[in-house]
Amino acid sequence: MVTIKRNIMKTLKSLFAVLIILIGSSCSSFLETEPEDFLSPEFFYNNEEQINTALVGIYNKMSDTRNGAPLYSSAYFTFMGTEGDDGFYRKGPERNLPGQFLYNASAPHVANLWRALYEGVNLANIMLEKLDGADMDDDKREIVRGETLFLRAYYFFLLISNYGNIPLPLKSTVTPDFNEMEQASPARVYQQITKDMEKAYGLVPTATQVGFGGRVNKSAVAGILARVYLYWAGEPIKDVSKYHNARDWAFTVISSGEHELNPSFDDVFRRLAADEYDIKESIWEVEFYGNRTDRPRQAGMLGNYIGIYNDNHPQIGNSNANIWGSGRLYQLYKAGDSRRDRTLAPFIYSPSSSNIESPLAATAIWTRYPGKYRRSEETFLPKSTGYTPINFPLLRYSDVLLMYAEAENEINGPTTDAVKYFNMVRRRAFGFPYNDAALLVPNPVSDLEDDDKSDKLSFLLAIQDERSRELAFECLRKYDLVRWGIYVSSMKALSNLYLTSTTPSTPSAQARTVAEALGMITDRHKLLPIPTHEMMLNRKLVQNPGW
Amino acid sequence: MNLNCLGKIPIYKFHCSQIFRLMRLTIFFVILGTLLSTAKTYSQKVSYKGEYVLLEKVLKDLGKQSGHHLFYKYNEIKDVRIRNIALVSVDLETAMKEILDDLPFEYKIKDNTIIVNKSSKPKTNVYAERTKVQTPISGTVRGVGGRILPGATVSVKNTNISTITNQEGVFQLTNVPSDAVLVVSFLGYERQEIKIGNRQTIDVVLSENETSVEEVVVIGYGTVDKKDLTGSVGIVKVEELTKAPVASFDQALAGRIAGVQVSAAEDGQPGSGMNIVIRGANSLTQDNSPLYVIDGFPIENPENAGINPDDIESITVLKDASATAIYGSRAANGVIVIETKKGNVGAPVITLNSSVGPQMTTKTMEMLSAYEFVKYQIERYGDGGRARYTPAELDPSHASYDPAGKILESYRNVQAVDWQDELFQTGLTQIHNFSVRGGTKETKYSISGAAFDQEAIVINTGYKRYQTRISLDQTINKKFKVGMNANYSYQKGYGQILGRTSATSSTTISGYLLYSVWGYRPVTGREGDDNYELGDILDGIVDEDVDDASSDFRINPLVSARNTLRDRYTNNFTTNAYATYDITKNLVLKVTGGLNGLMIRNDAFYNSKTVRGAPVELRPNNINGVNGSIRNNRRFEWLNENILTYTQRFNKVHRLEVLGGMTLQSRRNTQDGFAANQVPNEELGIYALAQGLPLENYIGASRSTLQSYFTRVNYNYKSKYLLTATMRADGSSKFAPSNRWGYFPSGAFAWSMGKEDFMKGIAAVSDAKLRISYGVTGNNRVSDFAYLPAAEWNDLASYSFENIRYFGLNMDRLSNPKLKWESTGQLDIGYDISLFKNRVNFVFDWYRKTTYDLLLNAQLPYTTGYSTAYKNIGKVRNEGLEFTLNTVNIRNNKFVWESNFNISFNKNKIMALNENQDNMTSTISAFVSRMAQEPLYIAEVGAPAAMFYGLVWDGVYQYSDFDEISSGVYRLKLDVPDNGDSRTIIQPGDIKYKDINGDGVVDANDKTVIGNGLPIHMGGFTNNFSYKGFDLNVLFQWSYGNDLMNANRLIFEGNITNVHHFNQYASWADRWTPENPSNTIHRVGGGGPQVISSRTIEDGSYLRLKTIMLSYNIPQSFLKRAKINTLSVNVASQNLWTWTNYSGMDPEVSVHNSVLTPGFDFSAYPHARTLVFGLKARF
Repeated sequence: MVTIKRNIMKTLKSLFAVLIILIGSSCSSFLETEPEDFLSPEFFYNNEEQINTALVGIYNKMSDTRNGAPLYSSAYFTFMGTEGDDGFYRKGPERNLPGQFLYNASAPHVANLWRALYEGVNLANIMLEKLDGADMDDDKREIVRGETLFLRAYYFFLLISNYGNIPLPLKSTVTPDFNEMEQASPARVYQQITKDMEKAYGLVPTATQVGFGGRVNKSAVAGILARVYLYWAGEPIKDVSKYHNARDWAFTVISSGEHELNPSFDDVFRRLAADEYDIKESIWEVEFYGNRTDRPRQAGMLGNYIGIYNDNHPQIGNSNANIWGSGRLYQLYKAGDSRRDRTLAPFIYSPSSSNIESPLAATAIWTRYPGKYRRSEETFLPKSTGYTPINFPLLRYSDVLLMYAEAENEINGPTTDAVKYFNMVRRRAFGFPYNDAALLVPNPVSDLEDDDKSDKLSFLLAIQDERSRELAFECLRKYDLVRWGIYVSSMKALSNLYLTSTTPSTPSAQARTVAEALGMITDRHKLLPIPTHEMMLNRKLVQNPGW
Repeated sequence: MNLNCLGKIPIYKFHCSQIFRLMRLTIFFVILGTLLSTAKTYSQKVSYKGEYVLLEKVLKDLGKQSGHHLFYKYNEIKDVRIRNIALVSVDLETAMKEILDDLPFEYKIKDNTIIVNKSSKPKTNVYAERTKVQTPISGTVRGVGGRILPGATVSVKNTNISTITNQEGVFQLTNVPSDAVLVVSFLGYERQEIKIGNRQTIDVVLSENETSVEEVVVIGYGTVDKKDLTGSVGIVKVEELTKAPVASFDQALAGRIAGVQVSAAEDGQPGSGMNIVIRGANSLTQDNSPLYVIDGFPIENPENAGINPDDIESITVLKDASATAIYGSRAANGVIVIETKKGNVGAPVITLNSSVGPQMTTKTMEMLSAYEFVKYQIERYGDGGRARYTPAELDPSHASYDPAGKILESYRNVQAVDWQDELFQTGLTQIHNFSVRGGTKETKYSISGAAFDQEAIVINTGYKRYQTRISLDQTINKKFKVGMNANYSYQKGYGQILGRTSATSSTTISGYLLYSVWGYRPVTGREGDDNYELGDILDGIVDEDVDDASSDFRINPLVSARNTLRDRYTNNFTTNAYATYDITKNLVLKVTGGLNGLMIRNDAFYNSKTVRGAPVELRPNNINGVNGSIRNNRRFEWLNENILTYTQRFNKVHRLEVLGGMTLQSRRNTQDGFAANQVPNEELGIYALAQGLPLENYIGASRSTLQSYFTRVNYNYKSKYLLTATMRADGSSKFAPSNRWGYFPSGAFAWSMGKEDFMKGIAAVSDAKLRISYGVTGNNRVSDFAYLPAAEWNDLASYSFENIRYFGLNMDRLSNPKLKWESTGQLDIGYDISLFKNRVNFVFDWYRKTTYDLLLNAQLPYTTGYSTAYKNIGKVRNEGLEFTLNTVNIRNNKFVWESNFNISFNKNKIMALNENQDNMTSTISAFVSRMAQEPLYIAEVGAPAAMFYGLVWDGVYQYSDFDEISSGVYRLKLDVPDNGDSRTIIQPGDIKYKDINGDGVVDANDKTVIGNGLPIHMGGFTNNFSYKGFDLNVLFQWSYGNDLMNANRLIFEGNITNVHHFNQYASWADRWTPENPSNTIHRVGGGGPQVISSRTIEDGSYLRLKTIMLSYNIPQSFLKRAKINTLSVNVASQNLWTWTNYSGMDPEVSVHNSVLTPGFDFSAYPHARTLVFGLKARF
């Protein structure tokens, strides 16, 4: 008995010894753990598939519905006031809306836009740093490089046109410490934008090769470059030499021969809702798809947050319709202009939960709903309450034609070419032919009147109104007004119009209440403030004037 | 007069130190004696009082008093002491007789001289000469309150006569001298001496010895005598804690230990956890819960509810760095050490405890009456309201005019539907515990099982637990011992989470259950009509009338709550095994292994009668149709610990204990699950998910490991000077290789002043100790791979090309290879003092904790492309005071009253934030979307974490604030600031805010701190009363000085979101009207912009009668036949009463709780009042 016990003891003692030795020796690797359910970026960007997934992530910033959905999925066309004097956010007035002028630098929308765009910039920076290391076809690699360079530049462009004075990070962030960064001079930012875009132009395929509007193509790059140079040439930098570049890049698109206007202005927007493409006119779009009942969720809110109010009739789809088109815009349209009733819906759904289109009286001009993005035209079923598959038009051919006309006018005055391209847009609007031959024959109904082409300024004024008629609710008007130096005066005029008009009817009390807030615009509102959050974390930033 | 002599046989071999001690003691008593005797000198009478005094001193003093000289032989009497002497004004003769009566000395008094000599006939047996032999005596030994004490020792003083009480606590002794003294002792009880006198039956009542020097406290990696503690350690009185009728020990922990803040994790949802913060929160963005050590297994976030409170032997809370540092890297938030019950030597003891009883709400909100509701609807909607409710009051030209219809007065007597009454029910709590414990010297075992079932106070919510534990300890031989301990628990919590929106979008507050219940229309306008039945509105899934374009279309919340399936199943298995081996007498090796497996399954199923699953025709926002999900979380953890302990005593006064060890711990988490929508055949319940459209598959895994070495040295000089030094090194896989190791030293010194002679002289002081400690502890509570960058493959990062959707990549996390431990340096100064024979115990602690290299989920400039990243940056300080007072107020044979009072003050202060950042603001995102954008909290440098932030409410605009520009048209006076709305629309009766910066405009620049979410002090007050078998235990617990944001009032006092047909709190009836110019509640539609202000900040202080239990021990005589040892019946209650000024349902609330967002109340589950009737039996 005793011996057995002794043996047990011996065994146990040696077990202890073995255990301790084992533990001691296994220690060196014990703390080495590898993540199992996510990849470190070191392991990403290695092959074509991964590169494509990363590229999707960069495009996504335009369609992202997270963190306040700041861009083309919702906020940019509903809360930010990008519609300028073409319309206004119909509720409120509300404190935190950049579209009304009661907000301050801590308004969430101000920070959300800044955040999303810089996230896009950082993703692009990582891509540019990692791209050469990926195992992929070199031609495809260069296309990705072009798309990435262009998207980064586009995000900088949105940043500078909204915030004016922005940091210009060109390298990805690697450490969480010491990330304070000074603002670059606006000219420096524009130089970088145009440099990258111009490089991208050489790398990406043509619009025809791409074949659909959702992906960066040469025409998109050229057209956006024209826009960038126009902004550079206008307020506040006013480097008028850039009108040349704007005109040349616009002409690059025109002369490519790949683009023409869709004969039907209606059809341009119907297609956006119906998941159809028209690469000839709609050169670059933000794509949305699906109804969010499955994954991945990629639907936006175009048609809901901006659209014709509807209380969720199954055939129409819910529309909160936060924006009213302005009476100013309505009154710009001449009789026979097909764009009016597309841009400002001539009806409301009544009752609001039905699909019954109840026409509006001719005098009801103050609170019409924008009609470019119509949920009734969606083809993806079933329709979601909140989310829509409607694409957002980033660059249309008519914009390119008007940009050419404007830049040419700034350089040479209202030349024949300038007037010709202007009239093309007009003719299409009125349903007249606009091929070169037809354009040679003046059309008094649609064409520019002689007074309007008598001098540079007259033509500019005509273009200013025409851009409103053609491009309303495409997130361009505010920035056009800013670069023309007439943003503050135009918004005050709009406010005044609503507060004083009695013909053809008196605007509703609600509209006038909002208009009062719109009248509170001051010079500082030409730029958004640098977000408070950012000012607090980056002491090198200087706040915009007046904020 | 009773004189006892300690030194009958002179002791010659005293140690030096003992002699010193004796001498000092003697000096004291001589002085005392002198003082007492001075007054008596002239009367030739002498007096003397003292204990343990030297004979020599007594004699010298008596000589002095009486003016006699003294002769004696020093060597003969020098070490003779007298235990107890009390002479008051007696003759010298009498005094000498009394003093020397039992001593081997004799005396003579001659003239002015006393001569003391050794007795010629030594008195060897003092008693033999005096005693008569008696018949046997017997009696019963009980504890206070009548508890039977079997196994107590009863002996006759100064003899060998001794016995032990039997199972009934009864003893018998024979041959006891009549003037003998009985000594009764029992472990854990105060020793008692009783003179027998002429009695034959003696019943003894022993009182518990709470400050027994024997008391052992469980600390990290071992135990220590309480008197030798150097750190600040809180000891929970488990027997009191288990009186609370709750599922989990932590639910009964509040108010029991100073410095330990225990509050509901969020609210009173059954089965939800508790939020325990020890000495204030260190981390701003990370977890602040303490580390738990359960039967030696250190574990973060254990499943506390898996432990049966009845199985707990002891809970100690380690608070200061000296106590916690042995757990190094994870100890900065304090450590809670729990030991479960083990078997004892003896026959099997079977215990059975059962309680059952109802649960009810303590308060419901008073809503508008039918009349007031209709009045409000008319005020709000004019003819729209009249058309629906009072068509007779319309203008006859109106389409809905009905002269036979109702008028407002018709609603005076209409009984509104009380939706709360429908939602709340009387619940039922059942608690059943069973255990068998016993063992031999070699083998000890313990088996226990428990069932807990709670049908809670909100319909279709509740909680169940089934649990079992087994422990076994086996001595193999003198040197070798092994043991194990295993616990299994199954828990099920069910029902809608009240504090969480059940809607699909987090910004839709209509998915909150209480929101819908409060807001649901209480009258339909058809009351009293022939074809109207109450059931129409009660049972209909939607309120048909409310189906108009602009309404918030609310699904009947009761139908939804009844149909919602939210089940949370938890299976937890824990097992520990150990072996100890005494390598030498002084060196012990202990090897421990432990496993912990936790499986949690969350089921959710929303059928067509729920808010989340209602068909799109009923709820347009729900395009998912009937839907549900199943999610599994698994955690598997193992641990190995190897500890060597060396104990040595040098020269009997130096004691040294050196402990060294190493441990390995590994933890792996996995998650998986799926969701489906458009589910057909909903009657199958959750199992219908298989037929739905798959929506989302979740899967994930993560792992972390920890490797540690530690050592502790305890040095103890005569239990007077105590030193503890600790060092721990931890390596954690959570950090990059270069920063893995953290080193955590601590040191403590304690001085047991009570053992110094100068203190011994103060009779009132039984013991006193000063403690000082400083140490550094750590925190590694970040996700397992927080230092690595992560590329996230997110479906919301997607984009489509040509109508084909692709997943996209996001950068989820920025790498931070410099990430390392968060460190907390803590200085603690404590003082323990016991007075009046330990009847009053006072513990005081002051501490200062400075947490630096904060593991902060720091905000980054967005220009980095990231919004936050983990950084070691920032600094937080917690400074506080803790007082604990334990008193025995009354203790006699019949009645005992004992109290415990504790109070703690903590001041939290942010010393630094991320790189020059002045403040961080936080929002509550799951709230009204506009208000969710408003920062509700601010954490500013120099101020406590998380102050409420917003506008300062300034009442209501009155007519005097306006110019009447034309009759009935009011324009705000130019010098009166606006309220955030455009000046032109502000009307009398609108809400008013303070224009802090004086620019005439109220906007974000006028926001300021409007409240503090942290209490100024908190504590508990326990009283125990025992009388003749009755025990009463009462615990009051409070929190003082913290504010709450009663967000319910934002919605239900003004309907700020303008929901149609929406009921309001009764307080809304007193709103501003031209006739009732209230300055507290604004007019209908006058709520201004949707902002957060001090209007709904309320004082959240409360005093709560937390636990009360009355029990009665059934007398032994009734039990003998039933073979029951003890049986008690009891009635217990939890949350019986609350005193508070808070207007909401329950002040113990913090929905969406975090350090940065405390004290938010919206649609919270109120704590229930529980009452149970119980039975405890021991066989």
